[in-house]
Amino acid sequence: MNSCSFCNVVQDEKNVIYEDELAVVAMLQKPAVSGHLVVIPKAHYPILEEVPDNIAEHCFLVANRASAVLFDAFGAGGTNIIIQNGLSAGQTIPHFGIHVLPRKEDDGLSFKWQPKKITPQKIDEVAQALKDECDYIGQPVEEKKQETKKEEKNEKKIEYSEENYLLRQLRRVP
Amino acid sequence: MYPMVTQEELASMSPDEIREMQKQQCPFCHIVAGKILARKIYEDDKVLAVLDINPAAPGHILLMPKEHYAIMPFVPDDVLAHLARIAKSLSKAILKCLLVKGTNIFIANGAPAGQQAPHFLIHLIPREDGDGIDVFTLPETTPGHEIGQDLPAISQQLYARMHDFVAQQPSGKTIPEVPKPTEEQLLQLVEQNQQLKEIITKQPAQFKQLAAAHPQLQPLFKGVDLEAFISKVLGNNTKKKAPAKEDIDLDAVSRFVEYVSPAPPAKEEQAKAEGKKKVFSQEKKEGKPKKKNETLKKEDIDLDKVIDLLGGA
Repeated sequence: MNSCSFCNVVQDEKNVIYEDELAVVAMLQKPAVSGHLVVIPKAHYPILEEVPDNIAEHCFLVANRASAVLFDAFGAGGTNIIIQNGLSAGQTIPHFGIHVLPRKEDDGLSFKWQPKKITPQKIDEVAQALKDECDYIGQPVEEKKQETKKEEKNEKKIEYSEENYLLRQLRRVP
Repeated sequence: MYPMVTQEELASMSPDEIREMQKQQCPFCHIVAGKILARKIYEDDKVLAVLDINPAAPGHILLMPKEHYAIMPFVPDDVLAHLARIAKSLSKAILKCLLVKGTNIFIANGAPAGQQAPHFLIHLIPREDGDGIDVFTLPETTPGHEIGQDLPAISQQLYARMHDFVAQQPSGKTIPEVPKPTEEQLLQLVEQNQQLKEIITKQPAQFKQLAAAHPQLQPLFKGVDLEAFISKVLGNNTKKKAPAKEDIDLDAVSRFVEYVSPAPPAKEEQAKAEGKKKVFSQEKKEGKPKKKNETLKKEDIDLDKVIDLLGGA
C-alpha cells in the first residue's frame, strides 16, 4: 500500500465513481457533506504548481461536470469548488485534488471569510509585486530557452577565443 | 445597486434577456469594461485578474472570464481550461512573490454556496500558518452526511456527461463503449419521441444533418442507413402534424435546458440506478433521445408527457 491516501483511492477504485486516463472522481470516506466529491489526477503531484498544464485543465473540466451533476442529481442549490494548496491552506493529503461540494441552504457549512483591513501602502506593494510577476505568464518557457541559448553562445565564443589563442601560440613557435 | 424589476417582469423575460440584464448590472463586467477601477494583476483576451476589494488576505486575487457567465456550468470548456492554466500561474506567482506557504483556490456556484457576485469568479487566497482564515479546512464529517445512497445515480450521470466530453478528446479511450441500439430500438424510440418523429417525417433533410452533427443523436445513428430508416419511420407514421420550426440553435438550447430543468431526468435516472455500467448503457439508449426532446422544448411540447413515455420504454 502507498502512504498517500489519494493514490490509494486511485488504486483501490472502491469509492471511484468516474475514471479516465488522467484523472478520477471519488467520494471520500469521510465527506464534509453528503455528495462531497474530489477530482484527483492519477499521477501523484503534491500541489497545483507541480501539475502539468494539460492535467490541471482536465481536472478543472472534470470538476465542472461533477459540479453540474451535483446540481442535477442532488438538487443542490449550489456547489463549492475548493483547492487546498499547501499545509497552511488546509491541505491534509499530499496529493493535489479538487474538492467539489454540493451546497444547500442551512447545511451547516460556511466558507465566508472575514475581510481584512490592509493599508493602501501594502496593497500597492502587493499589487505591484504580483503584476510584475504575472507579466511573465504565457511566455516563461521562451525566455528560458533564450537564456540557455545565450549561455551556449558564450561558451562557444570562449572556445573559439581559446582556439585562437592556441593557434596564435602555435604561430609564435618558430 | 440594481434597478427594481418586479417578479412579474422577471417571469416574462427570456433567459437571454435576463442574462443581458445581469450583464448590464454586473459590477465585474463593469470592471472588465474599465467603468469601475480595480487593481489589475493580469489581463489577456479572455480573462482578467484583479485584487479583491474585500480581501481575506493581502494578495487575494479574483480571476474572472471577461465574458459574463453566472456560474461555472455556463462557462465553455475552452474558457475554463484557460482559466485553469492562468489560475495555476497566478497561484505560482502568489507563492513566489508574496512568500506565503500556500494558496486556496475557491469557487462558489449559487447563493447557497456563498456566491455574492452575479459573475463567475475564481478566488485565489494566499495562506500562511495561523492567518486566521480557517474556513477552508473541510470538516471530516458533518453529522448526518455519510456516504450517500445516491452514489450510483451520480456515477452514471457523470459517466454520461463525461462521455460526450471524452469522445472529443484524442486520448479518451477508457470510457466503455456503449452497446449500439438496434434498428428496432431506434424505431421504438422515434415512435415514443414525438419531436424526433416530427422532424423525421417533416424535414428528413434536416434530420440527416442532425443525425450526423448533433452530439446526442450522432452516436445513436452512427452507421445507420438514414434513408432506409426514414422510409421505415414514414411507413409507421400516417398522421400529419404541423411543421417544426426551423433554425433552432440546438446546442444553445440544450445547454440551457440541461442546466435549467435538471429535475425530471435526475429522478428518472435515480429510479433506474442499479449498477454503474449497466445503468450507463440504459442511459445511453433512453437518456440521449430524451435530451433531444428537451432541446426542442421551445416548441411548446408537454415535456412531462414525453418523459413519461420514455420512462415506460
